[in-house]
Amino acid sequence: MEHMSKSGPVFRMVGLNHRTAPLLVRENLAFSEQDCSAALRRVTELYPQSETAILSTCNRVELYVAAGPHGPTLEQMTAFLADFHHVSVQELRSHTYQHENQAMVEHLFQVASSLDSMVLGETQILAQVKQAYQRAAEGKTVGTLFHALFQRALAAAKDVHDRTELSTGRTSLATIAVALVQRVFDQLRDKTVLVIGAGKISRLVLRQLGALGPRKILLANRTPQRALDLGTSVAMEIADLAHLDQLLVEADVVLTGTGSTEPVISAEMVRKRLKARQYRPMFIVDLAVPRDVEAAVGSLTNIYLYNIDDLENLAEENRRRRGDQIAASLQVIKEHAEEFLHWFSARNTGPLVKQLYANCRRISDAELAGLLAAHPEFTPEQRQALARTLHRVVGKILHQPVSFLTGKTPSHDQVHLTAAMETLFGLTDKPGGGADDAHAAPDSMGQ
Amino acid sequence: MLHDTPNITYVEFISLLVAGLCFVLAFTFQVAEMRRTPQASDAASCPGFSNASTAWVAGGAVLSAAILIWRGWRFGLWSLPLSDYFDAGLLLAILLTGLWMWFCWTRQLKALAIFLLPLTGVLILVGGILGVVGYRNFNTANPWIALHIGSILIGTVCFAAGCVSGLGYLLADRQLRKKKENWPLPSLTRLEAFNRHAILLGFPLLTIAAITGIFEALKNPQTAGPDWYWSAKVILTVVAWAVYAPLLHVKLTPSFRGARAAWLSILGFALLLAVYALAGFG
Repeated sequence: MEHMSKSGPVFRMVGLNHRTAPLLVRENLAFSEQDCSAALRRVTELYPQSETAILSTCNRVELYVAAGPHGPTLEQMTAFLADFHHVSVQELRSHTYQHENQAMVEHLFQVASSLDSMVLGETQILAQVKQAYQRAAEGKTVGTLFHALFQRALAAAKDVHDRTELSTGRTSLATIAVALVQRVFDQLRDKTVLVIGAGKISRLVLRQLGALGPRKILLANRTPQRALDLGTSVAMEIADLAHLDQLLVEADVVLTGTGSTEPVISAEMVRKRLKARQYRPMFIVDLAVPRDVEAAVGSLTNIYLYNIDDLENLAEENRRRRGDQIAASLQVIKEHAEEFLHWFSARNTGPLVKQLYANCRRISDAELAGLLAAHPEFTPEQRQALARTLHRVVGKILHQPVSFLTGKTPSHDQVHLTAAMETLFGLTDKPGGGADDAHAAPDSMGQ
Repeated sequence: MLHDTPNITYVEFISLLVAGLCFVLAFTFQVAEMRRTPQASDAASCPGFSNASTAWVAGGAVLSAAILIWRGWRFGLWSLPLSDYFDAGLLLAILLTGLWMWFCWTRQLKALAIFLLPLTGVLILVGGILGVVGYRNFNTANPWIALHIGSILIGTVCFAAGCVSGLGYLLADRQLRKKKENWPLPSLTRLEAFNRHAILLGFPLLTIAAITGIFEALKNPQTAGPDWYWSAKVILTVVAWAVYAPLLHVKLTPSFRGARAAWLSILGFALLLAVYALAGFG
């Protein structure tokens, strides 16, 4: 990849997510694996000096570009997305957001850390960001800048998960239900799971419970065909709901989700079976609305009852706890963004400083040559003294601004200062070539 | 009240108090650490095990061992002394520290380790006070008494394990019923199984201790005193034995499982502590 220009914005992104665009729009804008590779190639063909990556998940589509003056503008990036997916720019614009430079860097770090996710703290997005980066790397559409940027984004996300409690606690009802089962039973290898009715959440819970390898899954449903349909995905036995009393003796875990308006399991029914069960613990998850299990069942000896509201309350509590971690997570992200932008600025300021000194010395040398030509009577010692004096003057004049530029200036100030130096001193040409040969990414980028 | 006895010096007693304080401090640090990081995804990643709490536990155990070794050297013995409650308290503290380490090592039971710390602190302090206030020479040269004391000590560790797993069970049960997830604990079935195994090991030892105790009382009625069989110590021992007995027979007494078993294992241990206290002061 060619080096990005020192002038103007360098990092740009255009995207949409679950907050800015409805599902229909996100579906239309989503990139398949092949589409993604094709789009990356096309951007690179159109803007060969740019670095490009595309993040496309079910909740977001984002186009990232590191570009100089000849790279795509934000408007052109929006137009590219619209054109690629055959939608109008006007329609797309109403759903997109855009970020440049520091804001873009922080946005990517927040996305990778799942601070921008629909489910705060989920970890799937980290794998998706990694995949987007790897795809772009394989397509050779990323260079030094995006290698460093994405590696730093992954490191920042890992740091957020390690240093905060953003990802602690489960937030999906199915995983909460399974975790509760595991708080009662150490393992399910010798346990029987009874499923009464099978709604969507029941099937999700059952799929996860099935992965724990229960001894037996009994499916009692009013509709035999429905039971058979479900039985194809998970190995289970079909049971007769008419013998529920007997099934309750055998079951260790009960999942209910019928459409019945009356309770299917009464406290009296369970109480009568306690002795036959030898007072073994039983965990009941009532996913039905209205409830299938009488609330009094939950107060029986060694019987634990959770209904859909209980699961939702736990999920909400975990979401709240995760929400409390946002400020701490943003602080971690800020640290990483600062470090990255410092590296990036230092990477740009090195050649800039070199060029600044070269320009000033060229001017002073020219002035000195004119002076010496006009005064042939100067001795060699005097000529050398004049040359040394001029060099010292140039050095002293440039010392303060260069020190300020290369010192620990906040990264956003450094970007502006760099741009100001370029403009004020007319440093439009960059000696020494492209980005790849300037400064290598620091070690931390390679985490 | 505190004075040098022929067998326990003032320095030894103060050292024992410091050892007991170490366990109490370890407990305090562990609770503080748990309050600081209350969330954990599972029992294996139980919070609260800071370097500070571990250091205090290690300090308490090392000091207890040092006092025992010192006393062994002072009495001219080349083995651990076991002459009275003072030594028994120290030895129990070392054994319970071993149990604490095992809990930590097994990871799944790590959350139970915290319960052991105050228990250890209390046992070592009670042993020390009984040693000073109600000094009684165990006369371990007598093999029956040696067996009696040895069974009691190891049995106590087993019942302490049963007690803490019972506490863990009740806490886990309460969390499930209150529908809260404040503290990661092992699953109920794991706690119940551990509780049963601990009592299964401790019960024969308690039985041996009771039989050897009765045997000694019959052999030396003048030491045991008149009507020794109606003494509170003997009655409480029988009650503790009766409390633990149904816990071993879940198939015969299925209703004694779960929370009931947990309560009984705590009650049984409390009764045993009462027996030790009565034996010490009696």
